Amino acid sequence: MLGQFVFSTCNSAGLSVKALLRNTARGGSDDADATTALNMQVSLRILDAGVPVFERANFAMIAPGSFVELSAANCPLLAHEDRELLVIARCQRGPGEQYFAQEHQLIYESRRGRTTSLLYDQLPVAPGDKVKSSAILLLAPKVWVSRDVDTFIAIANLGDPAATSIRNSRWQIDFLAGAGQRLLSLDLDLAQNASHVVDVIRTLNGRVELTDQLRMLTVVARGETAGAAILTFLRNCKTDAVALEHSLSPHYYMDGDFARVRKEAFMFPGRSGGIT
Amino acid sequence: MPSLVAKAKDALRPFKRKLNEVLPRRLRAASPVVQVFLGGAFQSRYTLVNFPSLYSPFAAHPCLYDVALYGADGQLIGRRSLRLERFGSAELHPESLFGPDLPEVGLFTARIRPASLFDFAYKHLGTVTSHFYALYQDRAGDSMVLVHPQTLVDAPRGENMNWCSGYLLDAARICTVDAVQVNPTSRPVDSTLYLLRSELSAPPLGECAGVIPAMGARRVSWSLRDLGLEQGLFSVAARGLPTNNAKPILFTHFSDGSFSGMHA
Repeated sequence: MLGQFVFSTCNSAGLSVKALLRNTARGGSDDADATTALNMQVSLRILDAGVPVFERANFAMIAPGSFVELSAANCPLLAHEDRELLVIARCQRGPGEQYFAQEHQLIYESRRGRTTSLLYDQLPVAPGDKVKSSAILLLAPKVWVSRDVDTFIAIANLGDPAATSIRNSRWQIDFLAGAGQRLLSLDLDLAQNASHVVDVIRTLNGRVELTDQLRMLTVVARGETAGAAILTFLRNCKTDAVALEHSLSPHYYMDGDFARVRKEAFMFPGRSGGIT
Repeated sequence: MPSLVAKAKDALRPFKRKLNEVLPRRLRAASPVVQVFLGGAFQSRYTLVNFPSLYSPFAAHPCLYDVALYGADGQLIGRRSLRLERFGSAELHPESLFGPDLPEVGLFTARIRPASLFDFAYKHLGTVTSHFYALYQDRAGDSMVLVHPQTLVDAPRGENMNWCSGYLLDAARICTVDAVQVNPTSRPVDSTLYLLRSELSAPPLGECAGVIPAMGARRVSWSLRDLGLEQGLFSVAARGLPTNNAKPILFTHFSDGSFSGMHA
């Protein structure tokens, strides 16, 4: 069984990352099933803007119920403060290529030692000849800005792992104010197999007046991707505090016609073009 | 005679299903979504968003959110309805809605509904769930915790569940752990929280049993030094949860007075 845990290093947001790769029962449940009695082999691939910069087929073998830490201590590349990297930890447990759910933990630390942590599931691995991009929706009503607080949106954007040249995928990102008016629309060509960090204050470039009070914005985005892990960080630039939480896919908000929603969503009046 | 009625119902079922597909329907919302409220030394904010309009921008309408706040004992503190415009969002401060005299711990709920009785949009969304985010800070705003909700009012029961958080926390960096639980059901629930070393065979270092009142909340606090835990990884577990996904929110306090946190 196979899965891949994908994350951004978020160095460009002033953070360093450590991952606890786990071979445990799903969701921390204590009623482990038989499959968790198998070792889990981890291969590691790190990419910089679509270019592989580190590959190790046998990075770790994790015993059942155990974990391995991935950090700058055993992978010095993660310590690079000036490189935004995409990390792919491919996890194999038992024979076959069927997906298995497994959560892993990320710990991000700011330069002054403040930390935030997140646990999320690895992604399926598509067979080599079946990697295809599809539309993804992001709804993030969790962006705050002020004189002290900024938000960073990190997109770990997967592509064809066998690609020999750098390919891009189209993304549209809209920033909405509380009354629903659009403050800014971005059309981006993001490199596949790369990590991208959007600094909200820098991106808004004065479109929002920054005061001592937090101001909340909603970010909505559509993109074409073969798979993505999107994290949204709040960072207090004065105290260096950081906070992080999952984004909720449309499946959390609704259970109806997802195909129609993917087609219509975020095609606001006045929006040119679109991803279908 | 009853079998005749049953046969007639069976015969009519396809027509009823077809009629339901064709007829307009108002927005159908799941039970209210639930989250921890923290007052006292903390400030809580909740982010409401008109997500149906964002998912269906060509048939977008304003919406209303019905919100409510309950104390740790489950007593209702207040209810309000808030209007959000098309594509709109709001950051909700409970103190501005319900006044300054709020409890230290409580339970907050929110549920979306159409703003107009004659609004029949969004049928294709199916049943919607009114998810929102919570941001917790100290009064100075120096520390921040961002979490999404995990459960709904009267979600399936979890009182017989054994659960262990997947988070591994580093005792070398943490002074105190607070676990906050809510009970979004109509009956009191027994729940025991444990603090465990990451080695599963090790006995619990901390254990705290309690009854969470219906629609109430409780906070459990552990000093790691008092537990003799100053090194190594640990996690939090529970025997009995109010609902099957009503896991606690964890706040980890550091020696410099700052804190971080996560839904467990």
